[in-house]
Amino acid sequence: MNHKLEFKAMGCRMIALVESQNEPELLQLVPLWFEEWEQCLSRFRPTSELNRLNQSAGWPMQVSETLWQVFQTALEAEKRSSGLVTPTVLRALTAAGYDRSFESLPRQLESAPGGGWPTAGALAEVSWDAATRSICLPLDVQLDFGGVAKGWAAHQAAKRLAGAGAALVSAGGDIAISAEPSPGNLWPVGVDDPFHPGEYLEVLMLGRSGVATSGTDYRRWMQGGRWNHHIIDPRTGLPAQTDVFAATVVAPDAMTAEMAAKVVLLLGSERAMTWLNAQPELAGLLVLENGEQLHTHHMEQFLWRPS
Amino acid sequence: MNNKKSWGEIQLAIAAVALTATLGFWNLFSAGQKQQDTKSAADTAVPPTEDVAQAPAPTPMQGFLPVKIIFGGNAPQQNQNVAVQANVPHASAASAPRVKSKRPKPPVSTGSSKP
Repeated sequence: MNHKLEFKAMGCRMIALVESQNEPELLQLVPLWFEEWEQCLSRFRPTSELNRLNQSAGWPMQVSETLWQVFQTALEAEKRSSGLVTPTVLRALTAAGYDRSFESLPRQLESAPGGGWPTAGALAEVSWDAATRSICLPLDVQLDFGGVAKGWAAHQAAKRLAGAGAALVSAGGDIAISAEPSPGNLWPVGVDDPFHPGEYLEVLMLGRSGVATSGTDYRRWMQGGRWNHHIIDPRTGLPAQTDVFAATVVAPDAMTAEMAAKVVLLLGSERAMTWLNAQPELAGLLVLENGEQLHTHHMEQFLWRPS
Repeated sequence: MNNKKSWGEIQLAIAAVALTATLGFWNLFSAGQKQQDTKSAADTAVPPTEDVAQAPAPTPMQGFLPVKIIFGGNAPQQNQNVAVQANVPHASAASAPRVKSKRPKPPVSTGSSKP
């Protein structure tokens, strides 16, 4: 039997599902976990641990286990993406106009767009010590974990819920699945059509895995007469110029899926398809600005088709 | 008496030959029709999909007559070649109209940073 809980956290809709005979008590704890993580990781909460870390630039600060784990996940993401997915784009993101939570952000900004804030390689200037779990930021670097934090949170929640039964956790579309709902069955996961809200492009059939979508279709705003969005290219420090409108990636876990979906957006369709096809553990579905759809050959196995 | 007996034997032999010939020709001429029926049954089966192996083509029948003629017992039956698709659980299901499985309703979906 499927037990479901929906709530809002991290500016997104969260969904937790557990397959078990009786409703697990753990399910009611999921919103509390997310609240705790948000208080630690959000850049929109003045008292968050992340904000305290950003304000303590120049000095080493001992951080909580949660922040440490997410920082390590972000380091791994930067390494695997050759620097394209980095937590150091906060200043560029703020300069592009995304300086408050998206709900309170006007869709039309009066300020002129900034000239960009390239941050490629900036993470190398950050020092840390695993023994004392402390991080020291240089004066000109601030961190924002963004999607990495959502992927990590979904993964953590699914892992914790797995004790009660097969679990699926969606953090605003970043989805972590602990196991298939029952032997021989899979979880159906819709892929939103970015051009037709409320409709699905495809339905994926997934077991233990992670899936995430990155796109410029929703979190976008007008600044100085041009559209800006939240996917910053660290090479230019500006919102990415890309022909990919939305990218969905299936990976072994939600963190990897989130990282890979962002890489696809930043690389553009042609290079992204080559990059994805070279990695057997990743499967991608791309929707381009012109409406064209592409998917890698590894994606075939996950697409629902009538039998 | 002997003549009577041999006449009876002759009658029996003539009857046997007549019966054999009748059954033989019956089966010979009906075989074409039965092959036709088999062919149309195969035609109405669901067209094979790419990953489904084709059933082997019917092999030509051996011998002069297409069937064995058996005296006594059940009436002669011709072996029918029924085209059965590989990977289809039941032959009857293959010839029935195929019901497409419905797209499952996903409890969650993935999109870019859903609010």
